[in-house]
Amino acid sequence: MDGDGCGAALLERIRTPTDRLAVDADGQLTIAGHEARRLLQDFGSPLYVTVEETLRRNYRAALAAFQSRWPAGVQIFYAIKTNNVLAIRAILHQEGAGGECFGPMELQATLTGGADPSRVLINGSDKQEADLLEAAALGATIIVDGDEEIEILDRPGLRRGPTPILLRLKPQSDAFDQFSSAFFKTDSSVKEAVRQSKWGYSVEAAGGLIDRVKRSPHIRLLGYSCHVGRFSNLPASYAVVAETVAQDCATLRRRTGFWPEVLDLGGGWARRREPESRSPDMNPHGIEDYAEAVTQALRATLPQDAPPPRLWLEPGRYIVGNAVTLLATVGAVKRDLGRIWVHVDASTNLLMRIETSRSWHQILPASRMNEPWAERANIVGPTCIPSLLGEDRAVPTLRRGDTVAILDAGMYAEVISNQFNGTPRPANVLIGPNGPEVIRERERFEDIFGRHRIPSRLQAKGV
Amino acid sequence: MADFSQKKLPGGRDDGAALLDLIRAPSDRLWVTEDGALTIGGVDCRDLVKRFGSPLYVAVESTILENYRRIRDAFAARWPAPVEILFSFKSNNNLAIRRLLSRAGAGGDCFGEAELRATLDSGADPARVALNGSDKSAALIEMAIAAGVTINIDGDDELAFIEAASARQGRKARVNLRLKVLPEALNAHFGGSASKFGSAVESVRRAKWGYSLPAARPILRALLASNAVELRGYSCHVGHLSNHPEAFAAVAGAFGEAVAMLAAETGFQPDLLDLGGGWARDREPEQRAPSAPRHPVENQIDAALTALSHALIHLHNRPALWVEPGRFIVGNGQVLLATVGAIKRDVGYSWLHLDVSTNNLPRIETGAFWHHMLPATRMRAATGESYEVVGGTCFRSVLGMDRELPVLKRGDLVAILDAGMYAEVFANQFNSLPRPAGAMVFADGSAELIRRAESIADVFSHHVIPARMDEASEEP
Repeated sequence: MDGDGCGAALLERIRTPTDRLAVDADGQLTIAGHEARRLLQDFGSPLYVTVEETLRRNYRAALAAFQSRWPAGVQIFYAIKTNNVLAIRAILHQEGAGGECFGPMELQATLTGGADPSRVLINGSDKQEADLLEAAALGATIIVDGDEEIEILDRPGLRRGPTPILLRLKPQSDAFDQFSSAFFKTDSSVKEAVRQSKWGYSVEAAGGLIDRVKRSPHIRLLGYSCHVGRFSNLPASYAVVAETVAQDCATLRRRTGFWPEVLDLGGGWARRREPESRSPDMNPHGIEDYAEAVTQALRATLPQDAPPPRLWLEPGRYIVGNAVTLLATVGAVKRDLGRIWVHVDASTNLLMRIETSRSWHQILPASRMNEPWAERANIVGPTCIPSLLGEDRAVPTLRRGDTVAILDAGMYAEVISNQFNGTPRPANVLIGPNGPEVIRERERFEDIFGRHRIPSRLQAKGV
Repeated sequence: MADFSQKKLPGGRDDGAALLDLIRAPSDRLWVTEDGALTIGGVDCRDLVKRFGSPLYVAVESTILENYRRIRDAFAARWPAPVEILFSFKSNNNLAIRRLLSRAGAGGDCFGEAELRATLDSGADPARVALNGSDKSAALIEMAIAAGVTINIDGDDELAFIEAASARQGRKARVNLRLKVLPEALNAHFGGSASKFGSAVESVRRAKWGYSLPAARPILRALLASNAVELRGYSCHVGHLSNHPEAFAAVAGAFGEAVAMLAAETGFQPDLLDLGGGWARDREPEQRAPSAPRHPVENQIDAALTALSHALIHLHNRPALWVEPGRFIVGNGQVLLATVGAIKRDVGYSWLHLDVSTNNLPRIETGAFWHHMLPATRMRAATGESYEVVGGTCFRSVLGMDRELPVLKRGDLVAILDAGMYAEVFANQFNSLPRPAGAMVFADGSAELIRRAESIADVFSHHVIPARMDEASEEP
């Protein structure tokens, strides 16, 4: 069995500073002071549990790591695509976070969550005209990623003053290829995978667009954006992106005379415990390491004779990743052919990154945290696909009715969840200063089938 | 073997119409108008989008019914005892499609309370409904017994749940016992989207479903001894591991051998065997490539039933068969229509954005599915550009890489074929995107809404912002 010996020891080893996970005298896992099994009794199973303090501390940690290293100014725009729960957005607004959005739905959700429109970024490689005009009128900054967007925004009267934009760049550097491209599904090098993605402009294409923008009194180019996302957790991989963008800034200044006042380096900042690494190993690097690598690369590469741009960041996973835990209840336990299957009432429907990119989540035996490991089991959801949540996991002997906790269910979980096999999606409760509050209600049968229509011709009996 | 790729077409024609002629399956109802528009079930795709909006899943009544009748007749012609087709609801849970199939006489394969309820509400005969699942709750078992459906037993606790419910209700439960078979011969015919979990046999061994013979024996004895059950026979579903007839023969043969061995040991003569689903189609995105060889379903069934028959030679009677096709019935029964948005050309690539994404075809992300795409409004325009066909979401959302299409423009329509199986049921709302509408085209050429499109209200209707957060921002 694994060296940890039991759930409590495992938790000791993998706990990160902003987790609010502990074990009480009864050997029960607690989340922000509330027993996991009690939460399931009160709110039903399965259940997403969000911790307000974890959200706030993650936000502050990201901001502080960069602010302390980049005096020209740092601003954080929360990437709502990672978790669109409106109450989470509202908490981050209280912290002062701006918002990064895609499309009119995310914009509306970001504003419903309280964000100030002037601190909102609009991303997307295929923005629709009406959405662009609405966002510009609200005062949002548009991250231009399509030629037609400039034509649409180049008109008077959209708002008071010109519409602020960033131009999205596609970083191209041979230095990418020192990193493994296993994260991508393109069977190519990292450089080629980035080149082949739909986002951003090459320096050549960007030069022409800058000349075009400079002729318009209705658009104000603030600077550049560049987001590659997390394909590695090595700080050097983030530094390559920063270095490449800094080089592009200089090249484009020579070509067009434009110097950016803002650099948006996007998101994907890796966490200490990250399922997306596809392994149980903890990430040895913290946010300070990434901030250090990136700001150092910028300082070393940006020309000395130009004012340093302000730094904008779009973290999503870093803020919400460990702030949500998915609790589930053990159902049938089957032993056959030397294997053990422990069913839980959550499935990969709720953690689709396991299916799409082999995310590896830590799973704690929440109701038996002090019991020694007894065997290795496959933790599975009941659905009609294998739904393998965790393979060959060391567990104490689990029984029907036990509680398990799947950690790091805050990012790309609820937002890409589905209702396969007619399974309603669970509730989410927030643990804040007032104790647990429902921030997302559990679905019912009607929420799955309510939009279906049976034409009257099919209502009659028989054929 | 024909090359089905969009790259090289025989005969010198290189337009969408020629590609369609090459890849058309017998039950497709896809044709091209003189002015180059794709018609679906006889209806111009432009009219469908005008009436129901874009993007749009388009179901075709006659395709679905023809698929159902084809697999039903293929089994009936090759088996001496009755055969029932149980539509696998998990592959497509649209209630209008389920209703259509119930009217045509299809039974149902269900998982969980919602699928069971929806299948029964559609008018399916409970005597032809199987309840599957490796973790059935006591409440679900109670519901199944009350409805009179057959429970495919797949967990140690299920008999206890049945006995309790049966005592309360005063009626017996109809049950099959689900077996796990591990034929080595399967390894030779394994590929496509199922190959995520190692070799075929290893993949089946590590899956949660079914009982090996040693594990099945004590459960079988308990079932035979119980007054609460009417034991009908066995079920075995390996699913779509391959489209080779030999793969289906390997599973059916091993299933038959296990059944025969249990009959010899216990004397129990089953009157029902449930062979499960996964029957392969003529054109399969799950082969992950455009040029998959074709194996007509009749060949798969021939091979499977020959092997099964051989294995059951010593049984007193041929049992009735149940079959649980899903993909075979609905796979090509739906087409996904989408509209072209931004087109970007840079660094040697052309990205063609559509208003659908892998949100709507998640098996591209989870199983590397390869879907054919037709230039639905320019079917007679010659191929002119190679595109990365992408959805707009904040994932790469590559729907098709390096696809040869005519030069397309914003507002053109693209048809993605074979969007009937494991598409809508796995669809998500990533980037807060509402899911599209569905329409059905009927044999008389009329079309009706069968699923309304979601709105932003649908995406966020379950969210609650606690009142304490309504207060103005208070920076700490």
